[in-house]
Amino acid sequence: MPQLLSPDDHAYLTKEFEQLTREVPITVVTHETSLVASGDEVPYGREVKEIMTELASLSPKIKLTVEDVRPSDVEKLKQLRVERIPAIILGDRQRYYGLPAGYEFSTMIAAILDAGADASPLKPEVKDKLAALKQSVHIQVFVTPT
Amino acid sequence: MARLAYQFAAASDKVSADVVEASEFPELSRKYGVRAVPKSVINEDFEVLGSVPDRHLLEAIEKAIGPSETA
Repeated sequence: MPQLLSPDDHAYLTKEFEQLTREVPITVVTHETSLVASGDEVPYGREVKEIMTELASLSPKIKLTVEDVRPSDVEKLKQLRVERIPAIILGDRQRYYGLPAGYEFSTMIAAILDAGADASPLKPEVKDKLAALKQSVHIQVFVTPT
Repeated sequence: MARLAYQFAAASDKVSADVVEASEFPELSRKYGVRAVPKSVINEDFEVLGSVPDRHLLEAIEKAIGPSETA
């Protein structure tokens, strides 16, 4: 498999990931299609798997699972609690939909570093207010790679 | 903005955070009227435009659900 990241990126990220003190389980939910059109094509389905596999190879703390699921397999997607694919499951309540490229690649790195850190970087007063929430809050953040 | 949303989700089991690559999911982007990014949508109908600090996102959540729901 050709590498998507440069040797310099590898060296930099390997060093960054040394900060991880906890394991970071990540599940990629995607579908790779053959060249024949099947109606189940997932744009960037393969690239998402490749980039996340490459990232996971840079730290023993990143535990990657890849689930190949047809977009039409609604039951399986429901079971994994993803609404569309490609999806990257970063935690119980964190999902990334699409290919984390460009600026969003650094978001993914930051999210991994946060997930593998012992303490939340949030201010105590913000954490307290969040911990006191009684109602469900769903935040959707729309981004683009550039 | 995406990182902050994830940090919020990590801090409370009531908060879930989805980051969506807008150009890959045009139907969803259209549904929420995404014309510029980052754009955050809280509980379907409350919008936050641009990158905002933690306090601002928290205020937006309080407005979206009602201030009496937070301590």
